[in-house]
Amino acid sequence: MSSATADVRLGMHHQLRNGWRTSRAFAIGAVIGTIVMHGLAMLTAALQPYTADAGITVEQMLPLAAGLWSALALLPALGGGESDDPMALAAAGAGKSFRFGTRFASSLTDAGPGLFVPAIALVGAATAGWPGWLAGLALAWNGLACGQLSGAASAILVVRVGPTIALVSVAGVVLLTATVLAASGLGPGAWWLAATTQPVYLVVLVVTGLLALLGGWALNRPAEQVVRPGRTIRVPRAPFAALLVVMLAGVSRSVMARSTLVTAVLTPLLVRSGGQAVTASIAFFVTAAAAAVLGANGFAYDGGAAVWLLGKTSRWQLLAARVITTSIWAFLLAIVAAASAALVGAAPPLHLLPQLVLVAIAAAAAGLVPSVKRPATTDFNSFRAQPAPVASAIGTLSRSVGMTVLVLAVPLAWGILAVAAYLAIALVHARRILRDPLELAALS
Amino acid sequence: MLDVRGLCRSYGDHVIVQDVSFTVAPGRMLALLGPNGCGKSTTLKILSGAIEASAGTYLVDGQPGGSDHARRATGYVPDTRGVFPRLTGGEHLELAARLHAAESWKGRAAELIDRLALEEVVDLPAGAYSHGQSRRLSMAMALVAAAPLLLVDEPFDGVDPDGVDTITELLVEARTAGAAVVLTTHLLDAAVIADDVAVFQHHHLAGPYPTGDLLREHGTLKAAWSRLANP
Repeated sequence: MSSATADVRLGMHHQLRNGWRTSRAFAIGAVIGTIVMHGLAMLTAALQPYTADAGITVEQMLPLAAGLWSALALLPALGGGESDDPMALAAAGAGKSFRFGTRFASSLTDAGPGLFVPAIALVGAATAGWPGWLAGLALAWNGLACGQLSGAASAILVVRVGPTIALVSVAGVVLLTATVLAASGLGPGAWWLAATTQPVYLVVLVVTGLLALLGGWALNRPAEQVVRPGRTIRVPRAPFAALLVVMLAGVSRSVMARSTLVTAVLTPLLVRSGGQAVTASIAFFVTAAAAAVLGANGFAYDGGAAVWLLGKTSRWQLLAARVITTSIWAFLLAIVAAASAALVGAAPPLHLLPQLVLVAIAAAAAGLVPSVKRPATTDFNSFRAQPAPVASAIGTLSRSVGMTVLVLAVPLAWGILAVAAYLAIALVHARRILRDPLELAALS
Repeated sequence: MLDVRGLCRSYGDHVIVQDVSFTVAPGRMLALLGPNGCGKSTTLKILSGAIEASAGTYLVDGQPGGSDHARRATGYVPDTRGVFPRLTGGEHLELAARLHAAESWKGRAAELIDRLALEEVVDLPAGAYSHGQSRRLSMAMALVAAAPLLLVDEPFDGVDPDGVDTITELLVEARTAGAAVVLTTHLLDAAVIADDVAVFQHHHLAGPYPTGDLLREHGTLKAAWSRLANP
């Protein structure tokens, strides 16, 4: 028992140590809030006969569920990878239960969200007694295991067969599933709604939760560090162009960026097959989430070369190259997500193109400022080269999603003003960081 | 080539470098010695333009440090792995040449790849390199554009004995070709190639002193280091 308690303390330490006080509190709030919202969303469906009077429908809550699904799918891609390192585990004093937990995550830090499983169970219990408790627990299992599954599967797919074949295969499987469901008379939305109102749903949930756990366990293998470049790039003569080409190549070659691309295709397809989600919102929020992940890891793309690069280029060139690189990738992900949603019948949000561009820029700006002041060196020593601490990822994600909500809520002109102001503040802040690059020094 | 005057650097109340001054002429090599955490790497980071000084000035080839001219004139080997994990070795050298605005660099790059034993890994992403291979690649990046000022921070760290010999030869050749070289190292046997030696004493710099004078007075650089670092 004392060993398990020590493991919980260790997990909390790894989960929270990287944040400064405000960011830490925010991270805890964001994780609990998101998971509780997710739990509520799914419980709303599971317990619809009891909660219909509240006026909350499954469709209303699905985007939240999709948001968490994306977050959980992305989280395993953020880890330090040290859970596979027996020396790191021994040095951290990890006990049996902690080792068991980290088997489902790529790092000690990733194991953190598992600590919030009891929160979901408590919400379930408070909402609907023991069926709610059981549903919450099973859903938490499902979420964590599905996140691990999707993260591992997409990373393995892109490494093994390349991003193009991976995209085509995944899109094909999901499209086929959606078509079969539709042909069975259980069209988009109907099948899920029908299933969740059946008494057997809880049993199915528990069984699939256990299966997902087993799958996650089996698939949790360390991803390869880098994707082998297919061909050598030509570096342009002009210094700024050279910088831009190198950064774009670095992002496009990362396993994380490629698996994020797969997630961007998967998410709208899954959500679309499960309910009446709006294509535009999917594109926006996938963009915001994916760009946040890219942004949070922005410094990592340079590795230890960041210090070298600071001596070779001006601060403003470096910042401009970062903003442009992240914006291009964020915009590309938005287009991919919207296109995949269009495949299953949703109209591409072409009329919202200016807002999409704004969201991409806002997301890039959010990624300019790290959410942690003094990350531990171990967070950057990942052989998966995917180092962002969870606190940093959640902080960046929150800023990114916050700006997205703002862009969507106000007229375009005000949106441009707001994003421009935010970008200016982020640039000034980022320049200060580059002048005193303690965070960059931690990369080395 | 390099003229440093009253350089200071602190993080909050924590002083790292205090009132450091020295000059390095073309064709000369200065070794900065001192215990861990005394400010050697911070000094080179400032001189490379990577971070800013809290006070003091430095000129590179007569131009203010941090200017475009100074950046292009400086080849820098940081004390870190110093590589982009997803770029190949060849791409690193091309990027370094472009950022230095070097015109004819391909022959030099091929020579450095050969001499630093990087042929087998030059087409692989640097994330797959060992620590020693990363250090060799960093060295090649600093030398590929024949910069007139070389700042070399712990170049022998993690490098095998043959590599230490090769890097020593390359530094001596660069000096002979007219480059000014500033070197930090804990390998005092390797530091004897320097013309001058300066030692950090609690974030202040003692020296520079001619290496020959120190060897005559103290017998070895280790003895000189012990005496000067702990007065």
